[in-house]
Amino acid sequence: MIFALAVHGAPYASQSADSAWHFASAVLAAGHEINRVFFYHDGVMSAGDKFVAPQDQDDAHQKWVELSNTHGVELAICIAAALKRGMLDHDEAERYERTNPTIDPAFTVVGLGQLIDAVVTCDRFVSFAA
Amino acid sequence: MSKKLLFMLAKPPYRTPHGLEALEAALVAGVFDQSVSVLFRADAVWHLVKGQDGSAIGQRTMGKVAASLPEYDITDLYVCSDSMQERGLDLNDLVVSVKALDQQAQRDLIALQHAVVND
Repeated sequence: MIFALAVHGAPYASQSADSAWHFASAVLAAGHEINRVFFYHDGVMSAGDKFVAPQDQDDAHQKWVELSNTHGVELAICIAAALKRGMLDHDEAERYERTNPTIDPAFTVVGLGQLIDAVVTCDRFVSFAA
Repeated sequence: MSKKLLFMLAKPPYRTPHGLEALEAALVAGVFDQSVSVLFRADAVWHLVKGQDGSAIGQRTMGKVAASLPEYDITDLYVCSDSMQERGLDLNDLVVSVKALDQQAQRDLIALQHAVVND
């Protein structure tokens, strides 16, 4: 079965992103596919490349990167939600003349059309609200 | 192929951007030629109330955003009748023409969908 996931909450601010990560891991372990994880609203914060995780907690950002590296899952973040929260990839940082990108290259900046595409091409769409 | 997508809003306007961003996703789905419905329930019914002016706090007026949906061919707009009643609202208080659904009708609407997108 093909799953699409949406993450609405920022890591360390709500359980949204971590629940989504656990769900994604379980989906893949059960032999299903994930066509895209779409980070929307505050969910885009998971893409930040400057996290320093607390020593006694999981690294909420790195967990996604490893999941993507291991399973080839696409990590997509909404460009409109990202820009207004200061989340910029290399191209957007250049476009808006900001010093540094703030997004890990494991995440792809996309438009809302990619959320709709993921939803209509999946068998099950699961969103993790903040 | 066109799929039936329901955007289901439950959060109040102005406290978070979730309602606005969910409606933006609904508009994009409309542009992608999907069969789009929008259900406003719980505090999300406040998106639709007349007499709002978001400019007072430097934001878009959510009533205007919601009222623009039919211009983008999104005409299947619904409210939860219980949520309306609990807040002392009736359809005349709203900025756009919507259909009120009781709990069973909402379940039926959801059952028809390929997917439900929450706010």
